[in-house]
Amino acid sequence: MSVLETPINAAAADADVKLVPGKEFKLPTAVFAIDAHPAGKRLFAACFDGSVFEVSTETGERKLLGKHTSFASGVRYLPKADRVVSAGYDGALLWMNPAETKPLRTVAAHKFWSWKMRVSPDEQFVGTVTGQYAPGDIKYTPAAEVEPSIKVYEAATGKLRWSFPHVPPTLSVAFSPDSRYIAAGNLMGEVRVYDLQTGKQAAAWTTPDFTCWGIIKSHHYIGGIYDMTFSADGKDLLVCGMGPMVDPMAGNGKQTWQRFAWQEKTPRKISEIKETDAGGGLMEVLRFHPDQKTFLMSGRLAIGKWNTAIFDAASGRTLHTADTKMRVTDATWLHDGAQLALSGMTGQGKKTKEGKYPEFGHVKLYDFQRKV
Amino acid sequence: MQSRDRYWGSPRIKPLFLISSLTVPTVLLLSLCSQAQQKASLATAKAKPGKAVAVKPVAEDPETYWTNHVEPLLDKQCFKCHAGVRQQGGLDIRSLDTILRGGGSGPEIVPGKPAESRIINYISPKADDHMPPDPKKQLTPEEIGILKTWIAMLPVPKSKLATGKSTDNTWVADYLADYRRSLPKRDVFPASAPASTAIDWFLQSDWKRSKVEPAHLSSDLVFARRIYLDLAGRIPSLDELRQFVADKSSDKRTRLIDTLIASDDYPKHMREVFDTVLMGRPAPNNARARVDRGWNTYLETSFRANRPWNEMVHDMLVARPAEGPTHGADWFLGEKNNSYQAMAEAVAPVAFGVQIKCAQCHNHPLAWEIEQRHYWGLVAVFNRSKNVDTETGPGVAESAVGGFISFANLKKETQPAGLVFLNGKSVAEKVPGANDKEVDSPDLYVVPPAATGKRAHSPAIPKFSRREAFANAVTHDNPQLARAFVNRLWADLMGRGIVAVVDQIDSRHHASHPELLEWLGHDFEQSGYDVKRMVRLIVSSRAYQLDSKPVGKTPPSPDDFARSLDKPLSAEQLLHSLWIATGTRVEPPKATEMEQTFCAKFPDIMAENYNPSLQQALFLTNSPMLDDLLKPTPGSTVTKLMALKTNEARVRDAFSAVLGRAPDTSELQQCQSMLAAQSPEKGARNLLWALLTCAEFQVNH
Amino acid sequence: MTQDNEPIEGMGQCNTPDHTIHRRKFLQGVVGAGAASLMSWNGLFSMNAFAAQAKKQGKHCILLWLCGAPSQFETWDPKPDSIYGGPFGSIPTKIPGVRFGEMMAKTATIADKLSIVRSMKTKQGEHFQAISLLQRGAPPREPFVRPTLGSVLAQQLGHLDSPIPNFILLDPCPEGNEYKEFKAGNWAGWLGAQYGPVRAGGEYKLADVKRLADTTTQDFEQREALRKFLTRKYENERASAAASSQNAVFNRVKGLMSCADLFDLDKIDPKDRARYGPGTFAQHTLMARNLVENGAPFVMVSNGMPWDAHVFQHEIYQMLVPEVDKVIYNLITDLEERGLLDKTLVVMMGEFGRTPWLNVARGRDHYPDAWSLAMAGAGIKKGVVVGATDSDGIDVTEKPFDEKNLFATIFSALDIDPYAEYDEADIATFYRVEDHAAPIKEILL
Repeated sequence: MSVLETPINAAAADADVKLVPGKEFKLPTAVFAIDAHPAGKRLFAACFDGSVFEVSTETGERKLLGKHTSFASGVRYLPKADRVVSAGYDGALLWMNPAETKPLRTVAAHKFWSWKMRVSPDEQFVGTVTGQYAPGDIKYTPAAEVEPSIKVYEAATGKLRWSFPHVPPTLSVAFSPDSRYIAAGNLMGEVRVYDLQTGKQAAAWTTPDFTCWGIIKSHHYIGGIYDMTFSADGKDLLVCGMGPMVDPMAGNGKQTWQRFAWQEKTPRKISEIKETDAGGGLMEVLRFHPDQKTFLMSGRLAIGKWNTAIFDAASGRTLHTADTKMRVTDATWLHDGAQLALSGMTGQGKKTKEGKYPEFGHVKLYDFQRKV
Repeated sequence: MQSRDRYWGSPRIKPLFLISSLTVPTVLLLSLCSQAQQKASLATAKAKPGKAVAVKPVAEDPETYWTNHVEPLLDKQCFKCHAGVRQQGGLDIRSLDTILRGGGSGPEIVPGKPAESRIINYISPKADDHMPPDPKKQLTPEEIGILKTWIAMLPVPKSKLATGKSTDNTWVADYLADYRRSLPKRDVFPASAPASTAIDWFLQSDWKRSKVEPAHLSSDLVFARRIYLDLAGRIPSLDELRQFVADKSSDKRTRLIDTLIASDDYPKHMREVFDTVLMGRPAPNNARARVDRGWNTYLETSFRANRPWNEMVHDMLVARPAEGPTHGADWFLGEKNNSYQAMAEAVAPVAFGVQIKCAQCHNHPLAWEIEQRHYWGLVAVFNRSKNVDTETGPGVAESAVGGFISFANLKKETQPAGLVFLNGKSVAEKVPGANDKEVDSPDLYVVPPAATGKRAHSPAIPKFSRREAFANAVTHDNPQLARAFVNRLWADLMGRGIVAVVDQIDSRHHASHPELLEWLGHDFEQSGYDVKRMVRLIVSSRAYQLDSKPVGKTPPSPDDFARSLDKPLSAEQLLHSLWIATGTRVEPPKATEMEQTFCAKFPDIMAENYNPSLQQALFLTNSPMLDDLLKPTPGSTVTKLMALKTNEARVRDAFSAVLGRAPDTSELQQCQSMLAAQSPEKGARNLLWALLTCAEFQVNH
Repeated sequence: MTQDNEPIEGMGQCNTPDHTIHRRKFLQGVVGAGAASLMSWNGLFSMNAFAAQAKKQGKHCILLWLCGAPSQFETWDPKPDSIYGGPFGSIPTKIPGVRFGEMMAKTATIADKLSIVRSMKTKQGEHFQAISLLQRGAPPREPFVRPTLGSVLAQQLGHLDSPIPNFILLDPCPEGNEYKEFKAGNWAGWLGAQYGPVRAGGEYKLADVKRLADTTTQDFEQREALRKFLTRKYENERASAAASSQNAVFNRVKGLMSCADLFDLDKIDPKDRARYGPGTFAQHTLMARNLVENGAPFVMVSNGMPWDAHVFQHEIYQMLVPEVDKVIYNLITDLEERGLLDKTLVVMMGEFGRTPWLNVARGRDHYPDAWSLAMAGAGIKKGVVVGATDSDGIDVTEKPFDEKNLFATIFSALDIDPYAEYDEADIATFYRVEDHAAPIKEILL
């Protein structure tokens, strides 16, 4: 049941920037991750049925590149090597040559799921995070990890380079722009940053604003940091997720992003989404625009009017909001930021009388327009 | 989503009328009624050998026939697809109103003409759109007969548009109004009679009809204890009791009532009751704020000054900051901390006397008149509100823009929420178009919100205020407001509501004395919502002052109000009475701690089911809090008892102090034999404990 | 007290002096033993009833109430080959050819001790009504309130004089939306408040169970006797239901105080506590085992409504299912080890199942059309799977069962006549199981 509600004093959407809907493509199953080929004509999509597709932005035509044995949860394209890497809930990393259709390499990275996978900007590393939530005490605080929560592989060889600890489940991961650091966030709102040169922990802090203990119905933790991204100068880390919910089954915690100066002795929150701009729903995507002047946050609309918003990078002000009519799982910029591709899903739906399973995966393209 | 469990007993349905003359078809039909149908009738209970069971006669009027025969049948066969949650073909079949409204094809019956009625067509064995669709679940000929009978009982409409083929339902509203007027009124209180006699008049008419013998009038001792508890929230002290008994004047009960209402205990007690009724027991974090934000003071001030109830409700709904007598009223909304649904759900029982929780995701599954749009309309009333902290203090601001919401039903069909309310009223407002952007500006306000980044001087008040508009719609010309209050007050004082489920005066819950409820509601409204007057009216009645012991072999049914009903003491009543009975003085902060503990252990006020819990029994048995009151501190009852010379004296004084009466022979014997085996101190403590925890003390009777 | 020369039912005229003496001795033996008399007074005079009592004696039931409704896909009826199967795979179990969801690894190793029903098909998809339906075994019929399973079993298996409560509900979650409303309602229905549950959980120790230091046994007994006398007098003089329920509740105080330690987890072996797992659900199941070991007839364990995963189905089930897996495994093996499994019926279920298809928020919604539950212990066959659903888990393809069949099964397993009529006063005609619904014969011994 959905209620669309305008929060009080909603910031009138600025006409500075706008997302103008363009082509839309449906895929048989939910799309959980997306990445773009630099030329902007091809997308790579990781799907619910484990498939990793190459998708044409012109026609939506699909080519199957590889398949995981469970949800495919991450996909990234490495331009220099012309390779596609994907990760899945089977805990595996797959390397693919988009020109071929059989995987080049499979690495069993985790026993449990890969929640998120990222590639370092210099294309050296593939980072993937894992962790199964298990009760560690009477209040269901997560138990310690049974396998390393963060793993860093060499993109060229598939060899394991680093294993870093965290408290599971670790849901998000990001590389700094200089490829020096890797950050990871978990269910409890704890962020850890590790130095990829020395292997040492560079920073750790916890933000309480993304996690909820289900007082109303379920005495365990829900939520967490679902995505993160560094600022261009690498000094700040932005994280997103959802604020605490009273009823955990509603998924309607506040749509939230926070920005931290992580290199300070005690990492400090610099800014966060304005109270009055936020509706409710889990935010899973945080992405700077290539020109670094704005960033995008996207996810699910549970309360309010939008599930996708563009923010001014300097002030954090909301510039534009949109309801993409699907839950957004990932985003990628094409043509240097002139275009945006969003991946997502709608409800899976019941099999039709004719035995057909409704398509519920989506890729939607938007033109990013800016008033000069 | 939440809804009332239909397992919770609803009061036994009392037919509106006695049979004065059964029409022949009805008699035949009754005898044709299948066993199953008779069991489905809520008017009969299983007859056990040797056990006399009252079988109330079935009446001839269509309303009673509907309640006793038609509704249970439709419930079993049709409600699953044609009620609140699902309406196949758009048809809701739960009432004459909704049947006449019909699904897509107009009224489903022609009143008075079963042969022309579409419904009869559907359920006939050979019909095309046959109902019910399951071949294993068909209506029996007897059941079809019941429906036909009911339709035949209804007056034939005057309008020519009312035919079996017609899709036109424009005639329905007038027809229903006429029909309701045509229902014979049974109990009409003579307008010339004094209002103070009304309650007894209605109840006595009913007792005569049902051949119920009311209990005797209560003794002075019993009355005094009861009235102190009900008006002052505590038992009388021994001195107060003795004073009352010694008073020889003929109007002493009236004067005691007046004295208590004028005392300072009255507003405190009313606050204790209505704080919980309006806001529920506070979560531990919220208890402090109810005091600090002036809510408790607001209630007490208002009850002391006898502020009209509709004005109090108005105060709470508009929730403006104020100094003076209405300060603190805004906490009713404020405590809900911007949860608009919580506000809507709290307001519905006050403004309309119903629970609205079940109409969030679909129309109310049981009560046909409560629809989803009413729920969301009520949410919309409040969703421009925001808790703010201003220079003049915290409050609940209200925006001039925004709050335009849509809601979806289970089929995911959405519609915008308009300001439509359960009493049929609505508030018009300009809705922005899909592409319009509302622009907030200070000239839309009486008190504008602060500029960005600044702190407001005081909470924003818009020129057009939804809260204000709603408050006006429900505090004037809204009989439901009066009825809701009166039913509550009646339940509080008489031990059971006229509609037993106190906050569900809806089509599924029937009043035991509908004319009385209507009269009281009307009187309350006419009096200007005068609370003290209504309190007086009830407690001055003979019915209120009846004793609790039944006369005759079988005790009367609780909804006869033919004897005083057990009213388990609230936490506050219990604690204050314990202090008096044990002769102890407890000061803050210990007193506050005790209040909080008792309120947590005994949270119920006007509970539908009295379920004393094992935890409560354990508390009374082992808690040091109660035990402390039994310690021999100076001046306490225990100390006094210990100082007496004989066990008999101890027993007599203990009974006086605790129960306000003398022990009878068997009690004297039982207690003395216990005391004989114990030391004076132990004896006194144990005797007091037993008296304080026995039913007679724990209950207001 | 009946006369010594009154005939005993079913035995013809048995009023010879010998018999009278023997009977009195027998009674003294039983009563004198101090064990809270295990039979009702009247029952002693009826050999049939005696036999029935003896049979039912020492039977228990533990209900693991997975409120909110667990997904059958992630537990008992996985569909790994279906697009609706979810990201968790399936694993083989001790029952050849039968697979469970992959997070039920430990339970899979004892599957041969359980019976699984995969074809539950009920008609109620809203929490409150469905909880009521699956707790009471039949749809409502106003104004009568059908007692819940626990209340019926408390009456049938327990005895009111027993110190240990006959119906214990362990649930640490005071909130719970619809479940909270249900908990605040009328559990015992027409059987009467004395068959309602004693609720505990959360703090693990019942409050106010220890007698105060300066209250001696004599104080306790004598003042309570006086309170009871006064309350009963009030009840009789005024036909007061309030007084009656007060006495019913106070009657249980002494018994509960004497077994307060059973509600204190600190008194349980820490090794057991570690084995079950740290979360409150695991700890309460352990407490339930302990209570049953000490004679509790019916213990129900729940933990709010965590199974109702409309949002983040898999993200929550990754934690919930392994927990319940560990709990079931430890409970069943512990009961077996202690020789209690044959006398204890364990029922593991929620109020419906969950949809095959994921919703937009990555959750499964309510699904009463096809769901699963499991049972083990008293009266239940070992290692049987009955009923089936189609390859997508959308419909029941074999042997649909509803709440009436379920209740018929539960009662039959515990040797309680499912079709007995309730003979309480002032109610219409009701049977324990209506419509003579058949029990699930395939899983009954």
